[in-house]
Order: sequence, then C-alpha cells, then structure tokens
Amino acid sequence: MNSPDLQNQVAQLIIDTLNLDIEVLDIKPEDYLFGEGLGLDSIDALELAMAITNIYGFQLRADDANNKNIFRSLNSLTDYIQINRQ
Amino acid sequence: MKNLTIQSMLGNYSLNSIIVYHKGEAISFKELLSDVIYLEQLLPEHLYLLNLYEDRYYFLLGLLLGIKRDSTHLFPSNTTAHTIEHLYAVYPKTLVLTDDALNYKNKLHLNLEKLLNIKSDKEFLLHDTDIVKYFHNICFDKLRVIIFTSGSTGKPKAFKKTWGDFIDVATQLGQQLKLNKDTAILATVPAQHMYGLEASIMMPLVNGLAIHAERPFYPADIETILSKSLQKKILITTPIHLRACLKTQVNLFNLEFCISATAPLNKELAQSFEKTQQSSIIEIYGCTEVGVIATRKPAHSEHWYCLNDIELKQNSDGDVLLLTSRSIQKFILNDHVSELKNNTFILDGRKEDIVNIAGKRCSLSYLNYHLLNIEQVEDACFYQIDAGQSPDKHDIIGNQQRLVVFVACKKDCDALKDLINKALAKIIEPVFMPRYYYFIDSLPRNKTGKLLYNDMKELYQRELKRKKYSE
Repeated sequence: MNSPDLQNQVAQLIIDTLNLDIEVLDIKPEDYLFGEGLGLDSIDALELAMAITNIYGFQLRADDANNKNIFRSLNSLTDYIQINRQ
Repeated sequence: MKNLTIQSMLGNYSLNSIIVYHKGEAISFKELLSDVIYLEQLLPEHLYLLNLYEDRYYFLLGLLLGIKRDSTHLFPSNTTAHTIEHLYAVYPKTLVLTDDALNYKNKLHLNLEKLLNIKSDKEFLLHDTDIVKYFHNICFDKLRVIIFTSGSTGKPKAFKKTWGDFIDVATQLGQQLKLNKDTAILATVPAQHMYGLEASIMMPLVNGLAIHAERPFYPADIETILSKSLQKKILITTPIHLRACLKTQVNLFNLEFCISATAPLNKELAQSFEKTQQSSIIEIYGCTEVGVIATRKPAHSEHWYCLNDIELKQNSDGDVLLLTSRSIQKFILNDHVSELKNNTFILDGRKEDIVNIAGKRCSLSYLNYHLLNIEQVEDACFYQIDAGQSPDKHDIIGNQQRLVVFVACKKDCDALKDLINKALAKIIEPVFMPRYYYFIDSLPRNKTGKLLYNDMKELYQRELKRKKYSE
C-alpha cells in the first residue's frame, strides 16, 4: 500500500509533465494510464521517465520484467517509485 | 536494370560472421540462413507481407523470407485497426508476420518465434555455396516494397520501391560514413519505417555489420546494452531519445557514433551530447520518395553533404532538381535549399509550410529553427491560424492570418516572452513576429518528434477556449 501523499504527488507529476487538462482527483488509482485509460503513449512514458529520474533520482528500465506493469496505473507507478526512490 | 544479386545485399558476411545479437546469443549468418530455409517451407501462399516484428531478428527473417518468395512488403505508417482494414481492402492476399495472434486472428498470420521453438538444431545445415544457390533467382529491380505515409489529406499515400533502391542507399551510406565492419547497430526506432528500414536494417546488412535485435526504450536500457560488450556500436535514434539521454545523465559507453533523423536536431543539443557522451552525431536528411539524400554533423556544421549517387541542381525559380541512379531517377525537392555548391547545401525548410503574410513569404521551419535556437527555449513552435478557425482578436488582425507561438514553459513565462521577442526581432521580419504567446507544459509531438497539423489545430482550439475563460 503506497502513501496517499506520494500518490497525489505522482498524479500531479503526470499532469504537469504531460500537460493534461485534468485534476489530480480525475486520475483514479486503478485506471489504465495508457490506451483506453488516460490514453498516454510511449513518448509520454519517456517524458515521465525523465521527470521521475530528475525528481526521485533513479532510472526506469524496460528490461525489468515488470515494466509493463509499472505504467499500468497510478497505483502501480506510485508503488514502483516508492520502492526505487533514493 | 542493375543486375543486383544476393551478394550485393549480404556479400559482406561470411557464413560464420555474427549477424544478429538476439536474447543474449550471437547468431551467425549461417544460423540465420538455416532458420530462413526452415521457415520457408512452412510459409503459406501470399502476395503481400506485413512484417510487424519489433524484434529485429524475427523482422530480418521475415524480410529474407519475403525476398525469397518475391512477396511485396507493405510498411504502413501505423497499425491501428483502421489502417489495417484499409490495407486489407486494397491488398487482400496479405500474410501478417506477428506474435499478436489475438489481433490478427481473422487474418492469415504466422508466428515465426513459435515455429522456430519447435525447430530441431540439426535441420538444414548449410554448405558454403548454398546461399547463392538458394537466392539464385531473386530480382532486386522489381517494385517489391510499398511504404505508406500518413498523407496530408488523411488517406495513406503509397510509395513503391525496389530492394535495389535500399541496397544503393545502404552502399552509399557505408562509404560516406566509413562504416567499420566490427561495429554493431543498436536502434531505438522501429524497423518498419523508412528511416529504421534504411539505417537499422539495410545499412548494416549491406555493409556486413551486426544488428542488436532489441529496441531499447529508456535511456538506462540503451546504457545497459552498450555497456554489456566492448564492441563499438552505432546508435540509430531520434532527437527525442538523444535529449532524453542527455537529461537523465546516462553514460553511453562504446559508441562509435550516433545517427539521428525524423526531426531537425538542434545544434546546442548536438554539441552538449557530443561533449558529455564523447560520441559524434551524424544527422540524416532524406524523404520517403528518394530515401537518404545527404548527411551532416549538426554539432559542427550547417552544411549537408549529398550521398555519391545524388546530384542536385537548382533551377532559376529556386526549385531543386534531384538526379539519381535509384529507380525514382528524378525528383523535385520539397525543401528550400541554399548555398548549393558541389553537392553540399544548407536546408532552409519545407516548401509546404510557407507562410504568406501581407505579401511577404517565410517558411515556418525557418521561423521555428530560430525560435528553437534561443538558448532558454526548451520547445516551441510557430502556428498560423486558419482563416476558418474561430477568429480571435489577438490572432487575426484585419483579414490577415497572423502567427502565434506555442512555448513550453512552466514558470517566469513573461520574462521568457520578452526574451524571445527581443531575440526574434533581430532575425525575422516584423510581420512574422508572434502576435500571441500560448504557454503550455509541452507540445503534442508524435512518436517521431513531429508536430502534426491536426494535433496543432486541436491544441490551438483548446488553448483558445482556455484563454476565453480566463479573460
């Protein structure tokens, strides 16, 4: 279970980085971020990766077996950041 | 007719040369051919081939299978359901090579990886002469490649090519870039688009280089693959990935050099990258119709150098005629060129993006080039309002369509605006100065870094609404 503070912070990071016209509360923790959910694409993932590296101090990797799950939802991304942040 | 043979395409490999690094294994040319021969007997009848493999090993197998069977390869600009249905309406006898059985269950499809998993290692051991015999009847002069672009009108536009055209480009690139056979190719771009096909598949094949099958995505993935072996690598990529590597401060080891295309590379970015990563960047200029036309080193010079099989001539009206031994033979460039001398030139921007205000003409690429050259500007672009789009008092003055700019900026936007105004005023004519600044978090660039007209139109409409609400 991740902290609600961090979850809000990550939601705000997604909104700010990708210039989304929505509020933090509009991103439901379990909604898909890509495809049918928020409709993000791979370039968004790269932008988010840059922002995450700059703020939380670690690199994202696609060779991680869980990569597809990392960006699945706000919850999964927050979990991943919580475990890997420095 | 050039009478190209399989030796023109694969003649730089010996049977024991490493041709692909795949899932941690080094695959020899002999092993690859053995897989091709095994798979060919399982290949159903078809006329067209849609090779969707992102993994460059399976892609390569599909490509050689298609060449052996004389199939026509289709390369659509995307694989949305809409595009695929459109493709099947025009090319019904298409075989799809994919591991995505679910999405193509109603189409003739084949999963190469699955078939190879049940292949016995002992099957089809090759003798030294087999490759020439196996491909003996292949003609590289037939139009067997169709590349589709998204087209400005919404309907895909088809460009037909021969494999000989790709062999020519690859041969010329090999000479111009002085490719070293001991290097390997690593690419962040898909193999299915013109640039990826030319630079990450045909260039290594024709010049005998090894290919990494993976397509790394995050900067750290690129870093990991590069650091795994001491072999020098050529990174085939885009300005988006170069910028991401720079911003996330990864260390890219063992780079021979990088190749960038799809969008203009900013000089400052190229210089910073070269300084921090100790690797030079080669930029490629080309178009779907012709293929690669010229290369340059953007950190060091604005000048482009044509490949040896390209000749450019400027007409009195400014049009540039391209002559080549490739199958297209002649072509009028879609771009403005200056300082054309001995097949070197400076690109001044696309023709179709010419803006005409009060009788004065300028290209949006030219304006954008100067806008992006301002040091403090992260990303920005000019936009010309369509007369039909809801006229706004700031943007359309009199009956003239003025220019606005979209600038990526999160803080101190007013200061940035002043700075841009001052910088632009020194370079561009007053009619082209932006009449309104839209500050946004980021621009809607697509996967290849381009700003599509429809996305910009949408962005403008959205920002216009937002502006009205806040007024």
